[in-house]
Parts: sequence; structure tokens; C-alpha cells
Amino acid sequence: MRISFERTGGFANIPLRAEIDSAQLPHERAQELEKLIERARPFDQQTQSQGAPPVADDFQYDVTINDAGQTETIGTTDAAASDDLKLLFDFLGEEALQKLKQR
Amino acid sequence: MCKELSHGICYIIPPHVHENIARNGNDKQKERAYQALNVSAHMRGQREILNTFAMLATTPTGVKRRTIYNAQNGLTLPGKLVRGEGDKKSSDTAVNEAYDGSGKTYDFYFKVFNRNSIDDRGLRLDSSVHYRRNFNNAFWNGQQMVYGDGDGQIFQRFTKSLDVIGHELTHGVTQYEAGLVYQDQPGALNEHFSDVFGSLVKQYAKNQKAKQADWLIGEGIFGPNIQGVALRSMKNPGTAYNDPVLGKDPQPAHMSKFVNTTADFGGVHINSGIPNKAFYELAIALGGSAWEKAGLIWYRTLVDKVQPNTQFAECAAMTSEVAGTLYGVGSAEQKAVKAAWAVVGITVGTTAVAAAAGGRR
Ligand SMILES: [Zn+2]
Repeated sequence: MRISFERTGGFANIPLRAEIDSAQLPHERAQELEKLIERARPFDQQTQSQGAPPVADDFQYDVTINDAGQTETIGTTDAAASDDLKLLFDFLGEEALQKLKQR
Repeated sequence: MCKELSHGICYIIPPHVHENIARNGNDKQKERAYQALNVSAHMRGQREILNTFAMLATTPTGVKRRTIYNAQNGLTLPGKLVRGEGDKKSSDTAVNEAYDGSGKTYDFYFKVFNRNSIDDRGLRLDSSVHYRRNFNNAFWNGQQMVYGDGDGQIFQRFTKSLDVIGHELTHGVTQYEAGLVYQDQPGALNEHFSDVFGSLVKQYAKNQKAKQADWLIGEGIFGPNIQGVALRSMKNPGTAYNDPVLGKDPQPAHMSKFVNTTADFGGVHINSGIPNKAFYELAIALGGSAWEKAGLIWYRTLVDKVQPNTQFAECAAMTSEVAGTLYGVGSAEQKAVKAAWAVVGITVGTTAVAAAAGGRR
């Protein structure tokens, strides 16, 4: 599974962009990611509250997940995302940050 | 029909009229309206009117109410109550910073603009600290301020900088007054007003003149190894940081460098550099302390003029109009306002600049 993760906005607006390949992750991290995706169901529209009032300095997410030849894209914000989706974003953000620091 | 009460208000006036005055009238009108509401409600024994009255009865002007919560690294807001107004210091630095910072922000708005909290009716200032884990952000969620601890490497805790707290609280003021949409140019103006008053809160607390101030936003929240002084510079947008990991501060200082993007809600934290620079230029041109004249012009513009979809060029025209009202049409102050906007490529009185630069209408 390949994930393209982008997080922009927030008070600091330091863009965080990374390609995350679950095959390259340590086994435990890859399992955790799978669990988080299962729980967050990122492509189920029900997990995002439609018309959530915009929040100043909110994070904006643009994420594409490519799994077994299927590609799906999600664009949302922290304010609109469910708690499970926020936890998935935090995981991906952590991975992206590690990659950024290694640059 | 109309029974005069001692304060000269007929209690037969429908309660909603008093409510309206209580909400929107000047101080004297408000006081009378409260009395009338109270008396008429008592006389008629209407519980819901009394309730309305209790709701409208604002905290006495100048009395701040702060509540600090600990989100305990979780997602639930506000979290556990840890410090209320007047409570003794906590052993938790972030709690005390949120408490002191929101207090200084309240004092700034009250003493400089006679504004009684975010809603000008004494709204309680709620803040949550320790939100999520290693969370590199602070935000205003429509009801309260929320602060992350930072990851410790790129960012430290977001309560560390007073201008961050002033910035977040000002998002609340903007929500109640102008309701600027958080997207594209109106969103960048929303960010701009938060940076302006965030910086002024800090300058006021330090009792600085405009030319002494650093005009930085988020100074001191970067981790120790990041090459940068702050997140934004109002004095020199685009120069706050230049780091091998984070990249370079992307803010433009002129309309010719306006950034069209879908990221960051249409670049709200990027293009805010343009009006930020104009405000800095004005504050320097007028001299003295920035909150006295430049800050007052901007405050009245935000409260009296700005609309949800106001664009840069329209905002510039509004500030000029306000300067004319406050200091006289053709006054040195009004001329300085126009000159400040000209520095960033915005000519007061035309909207062509915004359109040419791709500002959506
Ligand atoms: Zn902001």
C-alpha cells in the first residue's frame, strides 16, 4: 500500500508532504497503519461531518491511498474528520515528519 | 397603555426590543434595557424572559474570566478543568502560559479598545492545553483556544509565545465581528487581523513603540535546531525562517507576488504577508505605539466595516475610510494609510489590483 500524504495550514503552515510505502515500514508500524485505516475508513463519507464549521488555523489534509491497484483520494480538515480519522492522520503525519527530518 | 417606569422606559415595549438594545446599544442604553427587562419580567413573572436576562447579563466590564483545561494528550475537548479565574498557579507551565496569555490579551482589548472579551459581553475565555500527542498546532475552534505541545524538535509548546495566544483569541473576535470566511483573500484577511492584534498584544504587554517591536509572529516556538526566528515577520514577510528541513518562509510582501494555491485554505497564512506588511508600514509612519492609531484604525475597520467576503482592496478602502472618520478626510493619518497600502501594491479606491492578482470575488 502506497500513501501520498499532504498536510497544509495550521497556525504554522509548514507543509508536510510525503510518500509512505507500508512495505517499507517496520512490521509493527505497518500493522498499526492497517488497523488505523480499518478503523478510520477514510473513504467512507460518513466519517466526515459535512458542512462542519471551518476552524481557524485548522490543518488541511490531501491524502491518496493506492492499495492493490485501487486508488482513492480524500481531502478534508481536522474539524471535519472523525476521531479515528484524526488518529490515522497523526500516524501519517508522524511518518512524514520522520522522513522530513532525515532529509 | 404605556406605564412609565422610573428610568423612563415603558415596560410595554416588547422584551425583544430591550434585548436588542441590551445586545447592541451603548453602555447607558444597555443598562436601562437590562433594568427594563428585569422589571417587566418580574412584574409579569415570565420565566423565560428572566432567563434571557440572565443570559444577557454580561460579566461586569473589565472583569475577565479564564478557564484552562488539560486535554491530557487526547482528542476530547475541552478536557479536565485545571485552573479557573483567580486560582493559584499550576505546576504545569503550559497551563500558566495559557492563563496569563489570555489575561494579557483580555487586558489589551479592554484597556485599548474598551472591548469586554471576545464577544464584547464578557465571554469566558476557555483554553485547552496538551491537545493530542506531539501536536504541532494551535487553533480557535469557534468556541475555545486549543494548544498542542509541539513535537519538541520542530516546535515547542504553542503557548510559549504571547502573540500566538493573542492571534488565536483574535480569531474569536473576528468571528463575532466580521465573520470573515476562512478561504482565499477573506481568509488571508482573517489571518492578517489575528497577526496584527497578536503582535499588538505583545507590544502592549512590553510597552513598546512601533519601531522597537520585533513584529514577529510565533517567536520562540521553533525547536532549538531550526534556522529561523519566528513563523512570520510583519516587517519583512518571507524572511522569518530559512531552514534545510522546513524550507523557506513563503510569505509575499507585495501583490505582484500573490500566491494562488489550493493548499492552506487558499494560502491564508501565505498571502496575509501582504496586508501584514501594509500595517507595519503604517505603524512606523505614524510613530508612537502601534495600537494608538494604526491599531485603532484596524480595530474599527474590523468591527464596523469588514464583511464575510471582504477582499484585500476593499479592506484597504475601508481602513482609509475609517482613518478619514477618526482623524479627518485628507488628514495625515488617512494619507499614511493610503501610502502604506501603496507599498504593497494596493491602490485605495480601486478593486482592479485584487482582480488582476487572481483574487476571487
Ligand atoms: Zn490563525
